[in-house]
Amino acid sequence: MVKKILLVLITILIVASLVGCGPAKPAEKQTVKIGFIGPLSGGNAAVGIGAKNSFQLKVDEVLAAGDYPYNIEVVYEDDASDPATGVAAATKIASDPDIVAAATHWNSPVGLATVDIFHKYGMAQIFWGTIHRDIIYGNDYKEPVRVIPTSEQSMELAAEYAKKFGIMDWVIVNDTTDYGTKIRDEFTAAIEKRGGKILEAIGVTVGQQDFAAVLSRVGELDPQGIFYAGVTTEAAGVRIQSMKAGLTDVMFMGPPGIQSDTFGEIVLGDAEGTFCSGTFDVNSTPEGIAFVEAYNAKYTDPFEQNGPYAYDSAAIILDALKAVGPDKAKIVDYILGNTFKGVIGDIQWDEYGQNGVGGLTMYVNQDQKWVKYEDSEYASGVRTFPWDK
Amino acid sequence: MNTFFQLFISALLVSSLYTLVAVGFTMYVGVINLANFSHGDTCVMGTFLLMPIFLFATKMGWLSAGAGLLIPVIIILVMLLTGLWGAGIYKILVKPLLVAPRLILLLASVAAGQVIREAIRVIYPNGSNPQVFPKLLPSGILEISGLRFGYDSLTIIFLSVICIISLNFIIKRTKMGLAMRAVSQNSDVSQMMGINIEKTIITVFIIGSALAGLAGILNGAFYGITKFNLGSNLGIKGFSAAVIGGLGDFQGAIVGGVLLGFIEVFAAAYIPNGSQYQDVFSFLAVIAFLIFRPSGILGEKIFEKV
Repeated sequence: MVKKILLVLITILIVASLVGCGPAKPAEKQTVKIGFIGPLSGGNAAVGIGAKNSFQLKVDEVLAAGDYPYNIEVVYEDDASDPATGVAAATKIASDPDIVAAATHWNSPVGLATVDIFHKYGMAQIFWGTIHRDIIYGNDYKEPVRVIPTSEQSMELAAEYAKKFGIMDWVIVNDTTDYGTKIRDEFTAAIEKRGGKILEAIGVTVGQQDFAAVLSRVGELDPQGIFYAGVTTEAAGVRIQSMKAGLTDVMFMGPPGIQSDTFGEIVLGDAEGTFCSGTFDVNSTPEGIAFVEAYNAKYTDPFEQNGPYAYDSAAIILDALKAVGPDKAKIVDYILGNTFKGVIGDIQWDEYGQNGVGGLTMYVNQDQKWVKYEDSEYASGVRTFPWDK
Repeated sequence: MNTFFQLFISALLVSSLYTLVAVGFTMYVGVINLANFSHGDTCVMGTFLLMPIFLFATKMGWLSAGAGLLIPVIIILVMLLTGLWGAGIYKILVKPLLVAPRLILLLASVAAGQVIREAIRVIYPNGSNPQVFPKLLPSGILEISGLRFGYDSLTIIFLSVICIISLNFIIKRTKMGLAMRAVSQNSDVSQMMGINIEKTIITVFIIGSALAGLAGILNGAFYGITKFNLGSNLGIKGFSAAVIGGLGDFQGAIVGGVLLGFIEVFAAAYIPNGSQYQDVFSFLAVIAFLIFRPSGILGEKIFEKV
């Protein structure tokens, strides 16, 4: 009997040892959460959804490679382009102990409202869309960094092109948000630095539909150019009504806030020849072209102007997480202390956390699409501007 | 001088849109003492009803064949639909609450507006976002002696004037109009005189809502865009126009609409930085009327109407 028991035990031990000699069961990967906040509803939802998809695309690509040490879960929150909603979303993300870093916001007023929250919770916050200078330079926090250029850099480019075309007398129509007034001030400084003149700056409200009174004043001032400092919907209204008011031979330009295909969809033929001092031209680099192909293979919604920045934001977070593990403080230090290679080019922070260049591009509207000016039929001379006499 | 005339035309355009909304408001107040705060949202509903119909007609190729004829047909169809919505609102919401205090009915109308807004967000694809509205109106500019008149502006002003004249005819010259005026003055006596009160009120709701649908469509067609929450602003402006003119008074609504449009446009043009405060000027005018002439310009018995 004892022999039988011993025999069974030995057999079990042999089988167990054989099983133990087999291939080791892979250890379960730890799941780590990262956050994304943007305007997923409301007037700017197209931009937010394009950025969200781009962010998710990078996460999927990294996970699909198979060697990433963590499983990643992205927590998406909607700021609806509204500071109050943005603050609620930021608090939810930043206070969640399971979330280690986040990429946030398209609207500057929302970014200005949430930057303190991420600082308070010590979480890395990468801005993929807001361009207001003070978000990065208005504090000494190390949590926020920004991959997209500042509005100041963008307005320098705008003024440079204005000078190039010899359009030096401008009227600014600005919305009265922080974004609109900041763009107004920065464009004013940039154009005056180059010898240009702002004849008048006229404020309008977000949501305003009728600009007849504004444009009658613009007509009296007889400028060479109208600069709309705001975002797409109102810019479209100003452009349509300025053409109806007879301001047909006046250059029209706007900031990155109008760099959406929706502008052309609303304005139709009157969008032709308008300018946008915009963000990275995705078709200018091989990495950008690869991003476009990968994105279009997966999504039908356009990635809009901020998709590449959101994509690179995800890459930075994942890179930091891989290097230092799911530790919020270490991720903050790693991001600020390193340079990264993204589809927008080399990402290198200044001492405040602002990316150096970020691919600023001047666009012209051609057949209701924003086209890089240098690649357009206007640059090649096939088409001419009505004001270019 | 040119600028003044251009502004005059712009003010007429804005006034036309406000008047179409204000007339509906004032008719509700006239017949059942109700400030229907879902009225602005009915305007927006018109735009969101029109867009899928227009898209369907475009896909079927009907518009390329006879756009000139079909667009008015589509607009009339949408006016009928919003008119039916108005009748439904009366039957489902207003009628059961007619005996309740007016404050309850007013709150119910606010809720109805909220239902429209949320229904658009939920049902319409990307309903939370601004929608590009079809170009329904004639394009091009009529230039006379340096003055520029957009055909679209002229069409809107013309259509509004036609609607107001027709409505005036209905109210002043038809049996139903007589019934409306009678109910407006005293519904109990009207009923004793054999007037069908319910039929009269339903007709008012159909006409008011149909005009709201038209106002929404014209607004969307001119500015090229519509949004689910645009009705709040349109409704408040229409209500303000009705208050200025005298709540419950048909002619008053016209005068109020015109005055409000002119205040907005000319204040924005001639007061420094006026554009960013043009809504403030409108509401200051309303407040001034409520303090110094609460009955409005043409109204007489405001305290009995509200």
